[in-house]
Amino acid sequence: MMKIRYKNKTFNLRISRGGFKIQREGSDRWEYVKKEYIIKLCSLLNATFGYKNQPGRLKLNIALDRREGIPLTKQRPIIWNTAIITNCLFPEQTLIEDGYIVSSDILKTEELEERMKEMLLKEEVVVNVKGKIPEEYISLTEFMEG
Amino acid sequence: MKVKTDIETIRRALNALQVILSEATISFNSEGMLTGGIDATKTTMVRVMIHSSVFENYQIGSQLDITLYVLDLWKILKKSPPKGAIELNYDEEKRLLEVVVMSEYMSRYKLRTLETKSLQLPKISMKSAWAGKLISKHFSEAINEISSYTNEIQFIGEKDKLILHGMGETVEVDKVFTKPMAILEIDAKADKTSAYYSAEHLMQIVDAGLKVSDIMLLSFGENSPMYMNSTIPAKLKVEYWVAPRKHV
Repeated sequence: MMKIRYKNKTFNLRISRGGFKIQREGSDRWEYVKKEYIIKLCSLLNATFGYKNQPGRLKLNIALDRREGIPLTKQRPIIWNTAIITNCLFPEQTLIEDGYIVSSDILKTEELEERMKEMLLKEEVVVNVKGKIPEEYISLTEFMEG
Repeated sequence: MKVKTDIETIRRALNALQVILSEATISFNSEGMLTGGIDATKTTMVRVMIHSSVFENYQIGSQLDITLYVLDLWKILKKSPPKGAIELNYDEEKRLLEVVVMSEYMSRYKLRTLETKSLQLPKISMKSAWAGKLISKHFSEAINEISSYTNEIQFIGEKDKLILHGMGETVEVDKVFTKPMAILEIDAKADKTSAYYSAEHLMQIVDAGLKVSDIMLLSFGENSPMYMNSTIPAKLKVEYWVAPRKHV
């Protein structure tokens, strides 16, 4: 799990089962994020983001059923978002060409995570522990009775 | 187990739950359906109660606990038509929750539930010094706007008003709530009570509270959790406890 900061807000980023998920710090929920955050993420990764027909809200999840030879626009958004982001992380491996996914090699989670860490470490990144109480709060556990 | 009620009540209840938890235990007993829990970061707790009288058909046998991935159920409810009925049938042996949505046509879903965990809703000790009944809509608008400037909101409770103060990098904002337009009742134990809470936490839960009731009961104290209560009498009760922020 990694932590990224944007607009004074902190997000936890994790890759599980080959998928990206993002969570606002303090929240228990891994959720959809606004396009601007994804664009920022791509900029942190020194990558470009841009593809037509982007929905306003994108989900950073890697689908395991990435299919070859199908135009990205015909894929479910979840898939082509994934392909775009993955391509940003591994520019030397062409996953997308002329709007088509050309390789369905599912990248190993560890490899993907290592690459992200390496790139994100250029910015302010710390490893977060799941469920850690953010330092700026007084935990509810301190108020529990019994 | 087999229970049936209107979609809207369940939707409001699940919305209140899903803003905090992705996994929860729902407990059915003679009083009704109780669920909730504390989030992983231990900064917010939610308790949601639907009274048994709301259910048209309430067959639960003895108490039954079901642990599930809340977002699965929320996905169904979110897309369900505004009017209609919902029936929940639970197969204990297979640990399958059947959700039947009845409107112009019927939709049937089967959800795999998780290993049952007991419902944990610890009692939170409050040092509340200010309490009030607020108009949910105005409160929600104010929280949403302040959160666009800052992630920390200072609550200043006085004898005749409540001030929400936000200090952004370039903008400072005050929202002043007074009777009778924005606050219906005030119970202040001190001349002035001040506490800080996360705008992001509040934004989500106040919005969920607004969907339950037009009036919200709010109480807080210095370095104490904030308590919020949105209720539809004899139907649905949604409560939140939010951890205070350390102000530096």
